[in-house]
Amino acid sequence: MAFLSNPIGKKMLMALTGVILFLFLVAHLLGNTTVLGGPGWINAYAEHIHSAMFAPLLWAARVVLLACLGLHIALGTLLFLENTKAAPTKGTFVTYKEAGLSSRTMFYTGLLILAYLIYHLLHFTLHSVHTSLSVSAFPPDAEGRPDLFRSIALSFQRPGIAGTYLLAMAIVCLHTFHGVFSSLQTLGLPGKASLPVLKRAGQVLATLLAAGFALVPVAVLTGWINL
Amino acid sequence: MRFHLKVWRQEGPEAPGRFFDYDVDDVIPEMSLLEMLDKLNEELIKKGTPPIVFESDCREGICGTCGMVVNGSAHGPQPKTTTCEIRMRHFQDGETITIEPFRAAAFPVQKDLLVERAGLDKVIQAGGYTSAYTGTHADANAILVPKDDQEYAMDAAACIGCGACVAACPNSSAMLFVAAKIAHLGTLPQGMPEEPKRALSMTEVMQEEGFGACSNHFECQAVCPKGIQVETIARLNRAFLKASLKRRA
Ligand code: HEM
Ligand code: SF4
Ligand code: FES
Repeated sequence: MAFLSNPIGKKMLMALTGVILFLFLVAHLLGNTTVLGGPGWINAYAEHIHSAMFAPLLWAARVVLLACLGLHIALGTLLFLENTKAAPTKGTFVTYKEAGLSSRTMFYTGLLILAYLIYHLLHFTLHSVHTSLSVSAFPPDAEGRPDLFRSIALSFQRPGIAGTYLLAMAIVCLHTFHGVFSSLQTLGLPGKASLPVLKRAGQVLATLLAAGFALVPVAVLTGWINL
Repeated sequence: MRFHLKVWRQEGPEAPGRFFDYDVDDVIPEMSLLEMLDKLNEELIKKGTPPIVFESDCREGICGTCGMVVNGSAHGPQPKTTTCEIRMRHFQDGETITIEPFRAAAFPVQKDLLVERAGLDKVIQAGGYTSAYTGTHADANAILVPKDDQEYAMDAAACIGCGACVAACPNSSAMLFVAAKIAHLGTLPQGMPEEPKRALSMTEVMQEEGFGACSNHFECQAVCPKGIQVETIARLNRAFLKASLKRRA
């Protein structure tokens, strides 16, 4: 508890949960690339992770991720409130020199990610929005598997849905653009020489991740992926 | 040179403050910003207006008392320069210059540009002692310190405790200040034994005194007049982690 009442302790747990969430996103992105391989790939992948063999793993991952997300949000909100209290005003003419849009909007981009996350789960996991586009609305594919490919393609053919996902990826990019390096700094990784390198690497990684996610809706919109 | 100044004036800690406009003529380019304010104050006194209250002592960049926010930057726009070292030739003739106190919940404004920075002293007190022998001073080379460590400790020891890092930080965190002290003392044999205790107590008191936590914005590094690097904050984070694990064990 002494660890968590310390300002660095709070940040360290924040950083650790952030890194775990980011690693999940990397794994998620790797899974998503199967969409680019066509219905055979993504449907097989989806059937695989939902199979009895992987079910315990899937549930374990869900529990860990949910715990991380809960801690990350709780600590992020606490830090945001404490930091706002410590700095009610920074004066009338404030010029920022190193802090960018990304680092200054972490709390707000975090909240937007949460909103997106809820929408995304309602869409592809719980099938309670866009029901006419959910897998259960379509017959199984040629191999008798749930036709996730059709659900994804038809969803992103709607500019409104594709646009929402693209906007969300821009926000994820903004959050992790600062977040990836920030967590390494908080965990005490950088040395004198490696600090600028790690900072740039974090920004590149965040951009690549978001671009990777954006690829699927863009591929559908441009007709590269088609039914 | 002549300047138009917008200076924050505030009667006392509770009173509302606001900007006042002043014109200063016949400023010599070699004057420091504080000397320009001295000149203005003399004119104000002659007119029967109370002079602008601000702090200064050494006026050569070593004591750390003179901080103020000049044109939106703690210690002004000149990198690695304290307020007292800014020369008026760095500004454009006829320029409007805004001058405000350091802003942080932990630095309450006392009057005009004068803020209370005792919070930093409390953090230093929380750091405790170093295990050095007292009495007659030791031989200069009795304890050998590797050159790189000497340099590193010396760079960190350059911190003058001015609080500009707090003023610039969007969270009003004092992490760069604490990190400088931890890096300075923890790198040398005399201060090393107490490092774990120091890393825990100084950061705890930092929070108690109303300073925020570090979000790695790095605004501190940009304004620090002594060039303290944010790499020292990563070092402090490591020291804190080691100390926490040790406390567990
Ligand atoms: C999958 C989603 C998310 C990922 C990958 C992620 C990742 C990260 C990472 C890596 C950090 C850096 C930690 C550090 O600075 O040490 C961070 C910071 C932060 N995150 Fe998230 N995050 C996510 C969702 C959220 C959500 C939903 C919120 C909601 C409030 C949030 C709020 C914050 C805040 C406020 C910070 C900055 C804390 C500070 O520096 O004071 N994040 N995030
Ligand atoms: S770290 Fe730099 S800005 Fe902060 S108190 Fe020390 S000298 Fe001043
Ligand atoms: S008056 Fe001493 S540092 Fe400026």
